[in-house]
Amino acid sequence: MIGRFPARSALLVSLSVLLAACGSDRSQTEGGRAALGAAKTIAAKMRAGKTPAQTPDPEQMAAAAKASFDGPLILAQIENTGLMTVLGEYGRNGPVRTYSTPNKQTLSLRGGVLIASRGLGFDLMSSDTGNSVALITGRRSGTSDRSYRYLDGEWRERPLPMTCTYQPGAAKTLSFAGTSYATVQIDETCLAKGQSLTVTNSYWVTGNGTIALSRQWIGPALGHVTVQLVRP
Amino acid sequence: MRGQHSARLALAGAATFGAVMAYADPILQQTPGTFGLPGLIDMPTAESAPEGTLGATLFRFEGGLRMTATFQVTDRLSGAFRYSRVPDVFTGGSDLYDRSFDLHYRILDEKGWRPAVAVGLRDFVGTGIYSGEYLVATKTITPRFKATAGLGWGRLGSNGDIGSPFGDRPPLDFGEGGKANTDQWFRGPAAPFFGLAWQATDKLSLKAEYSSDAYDTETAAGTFNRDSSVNLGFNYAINRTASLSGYYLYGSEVGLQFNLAIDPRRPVAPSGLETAPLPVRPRPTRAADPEGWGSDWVNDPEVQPGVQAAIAKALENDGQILESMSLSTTRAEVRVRNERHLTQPQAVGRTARILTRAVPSSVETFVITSVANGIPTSSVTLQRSDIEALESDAAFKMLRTAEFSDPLNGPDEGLVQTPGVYPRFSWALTPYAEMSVFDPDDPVRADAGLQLKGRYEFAPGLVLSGKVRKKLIGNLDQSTRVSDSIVHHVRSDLVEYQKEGDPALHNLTFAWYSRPAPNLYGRVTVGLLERMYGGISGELLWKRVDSPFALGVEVNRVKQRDFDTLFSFRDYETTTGHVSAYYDFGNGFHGQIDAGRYLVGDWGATFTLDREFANGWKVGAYATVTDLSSAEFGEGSFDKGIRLTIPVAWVTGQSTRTKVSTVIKPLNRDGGARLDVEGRLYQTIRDTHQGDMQIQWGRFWR
Repeated sequence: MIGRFPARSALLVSLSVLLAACGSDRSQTEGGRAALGAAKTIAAKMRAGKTPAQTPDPEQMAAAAKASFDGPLILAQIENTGLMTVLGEYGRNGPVRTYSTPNKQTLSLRGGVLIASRGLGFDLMSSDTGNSVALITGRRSGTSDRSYRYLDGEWRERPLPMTCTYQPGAAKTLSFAGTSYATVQIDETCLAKGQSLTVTNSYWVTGNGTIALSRQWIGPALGHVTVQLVRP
Repeated sequence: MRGQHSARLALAGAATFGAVMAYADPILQQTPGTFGLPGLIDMPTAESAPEGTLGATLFRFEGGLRMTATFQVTDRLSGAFRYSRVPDVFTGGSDLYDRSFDLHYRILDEKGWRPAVAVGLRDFVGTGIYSGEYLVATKTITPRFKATAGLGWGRLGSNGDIGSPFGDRPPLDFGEGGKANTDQWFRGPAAPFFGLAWQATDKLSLKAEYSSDAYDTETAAGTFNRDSSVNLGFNYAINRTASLSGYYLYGSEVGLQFNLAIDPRRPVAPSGLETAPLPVRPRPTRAADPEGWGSDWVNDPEVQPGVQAAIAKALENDGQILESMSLSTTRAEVRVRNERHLTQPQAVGRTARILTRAVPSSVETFVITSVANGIPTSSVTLQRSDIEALESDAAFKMLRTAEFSDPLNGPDEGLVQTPGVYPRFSWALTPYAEMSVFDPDDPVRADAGLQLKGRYEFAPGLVLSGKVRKKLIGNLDQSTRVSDSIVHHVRSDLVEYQKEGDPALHNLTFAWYSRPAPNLYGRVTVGLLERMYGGISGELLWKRVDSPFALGVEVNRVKQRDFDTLFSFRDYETTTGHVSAYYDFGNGFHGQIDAGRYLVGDWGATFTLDREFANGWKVGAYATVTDLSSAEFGEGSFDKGIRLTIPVAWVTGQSTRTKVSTVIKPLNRDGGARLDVEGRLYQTIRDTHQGDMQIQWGRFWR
């Protein structure tokens, strides 16, 4: 499952937390904990090269998640890091569905189009989709304005306005987690206004507008995430 | 898979957003000279660092050592504070340890054929070993090549002068130091200097200059040979923060310099590694939930306790404490203490989302009241339908619907305290470190050990707290410095406290925080108030939630504590107090004036100006002028210093309210010394008021 941690390192960690700071006054001890977290980050980075990354089997992960969770599920992989995880539905507000990992990192999708992330660091705060969702799920060509919002270095929210064009492509039949989807590929090419930044996203959409598979951009730091539908 | 954790770690290392977004830096970047501010080698240029940049340089050569901290105060104004050692030039041939301040102002930007032009003052207060003034122009010839020429006075006019255009330079009358040597500025011989800088590669720049500094003092002391006026140097950027410079100086010496440049707008960590908030749960339709949309549930005595318990639990998981709550058919108010989130909007935003999941459907108005030290400090009123509609929208849209008010102006009937919140005990055992710098005998001394803090809150606003420290290792007690102050040693015996206070009970106080009336805040603290004083301290603060202005009064009757820092006192008692005015200029600058009576009985005022960043960084400077004469004050003439606050979250990305604050004082004297009591009201309440919350509102949906 997700986020399992070797028992020995967990023990070491808790011990050193005790050493670094202890007490019930969070405002006093969280600084120590946070500093320790940063130290662990560095240590883990230095170790990272030595442990060969296992490639998890998506089908296996999807099957395990379906067995343990009744609600809607997606499988996501962040390209930059290779991290793959299953997320279960966590909240629903109008057309927006928020999916979460057991570690409370979330992706929010509007009709299957990524509009926010949380708990990943350089999160996508929110985004305006214009009529892009209609174009994508309707498998049509066209253009739409989109706007992505991020926190800058002072943690103020800044918009990144984009103009996007949509182009239907090849048909493809996908099979995943026990379901087969007859899809058409929709390519979305977005140009940042006033900046030399181009972003391409791809969606594989069924006849009834379900996005079975997509490769979507979260932001400049996080790059792309691949989202696969496990259970609608 | 073992992944979630390591994934986050990897993300932490990804390029910062700013770097990808838009940083059209000029190809040839400014680099510091040996005096810390943008420059060639010993000579200045007309450049400035990016606004807000904090720099530190350490320069070592045969003629001495210069440690300089710099700050780009505005786009055009830079300041520097330096601690330097010049060998063998002090009385009796000993080394001179000196502190100095510089200012640099870019008058004109480069435009077309016109070069950038700047004016500067080096070492303009104090004993003046580096005193010099300049007017300098810098022109970009090609994107990788810049030329600089200027005219220097004082030390910068000591080699190859062209006469004295503005008359003779009077001799320096520094007295106890610390005063601006205004009558010397731009007087005496003026000498030209010039130089070139070339960006050889992205990381390496090369420099050459013709210096107008004769190094008279050093040459006379025999510690330095000046065989040539030409200096050569390089600067190598190790990463975006650190760089290394090397020089061949005056045909005889080699110099090495290490530089740091920190931009508070470019955090070390991502914009926050906290876990995701609970999402908004929109209300079901009236048809689907007639009971919740009705009004009968109010009469059910089990509803409010159940709802309150659920909210308290969810808030606790989020690092917040629900102190009390009121619930009616249409309005819910929660009083919440935030112990985790650095910015209050984030705490309020998370509370709002939790409320949507717990409060019956008929309740449309949410009032989220922030509590600090047991007292309610501000209320944010939000409409539930706005929260439901704007969850995936720009944060400023939510801000436009938010109303800020003083909780005392709202109804407070029906507030029910959460069971088990009071009394409340908390404690923390943490490491500590204490440093002493600028001591000529041993420029850096330090102690490290453990500190135990305890806090017992009997009821809202009634707090017993204490802090004890036990040193484990260190050499602060080896200092042989004895205060030479001729007034009562109200602060200058710090070394004695460091020597004898082990273990040291730094404070043990009983404090009462209150809200006497709308817009008014009160504090009374009794006990061992701080390391050196015990007694009673009272404070009253006036501040409207929506105002950038605040006014406070503080009066203290205190007795000096014994050096052992336990329960006994010395034979010195005084009354000290201030009237304080605070103003948030709204453009990143914050001013404060404290006028009143200081610990040694001197009357005067402290002027403080801070550059504040939305992410919690603060860089400030203060100066205290009192009626104590320069002779009574001693070295430095008056108290001044630099203060710095860095949020830990900026470094780690983790959610924490902890900030690291430090005051860099060149001298620790007795004049203009204030009592250092904990829990002063302005800092306690400020981040929950409208001004601060608006600036940080981008984190509301975080």
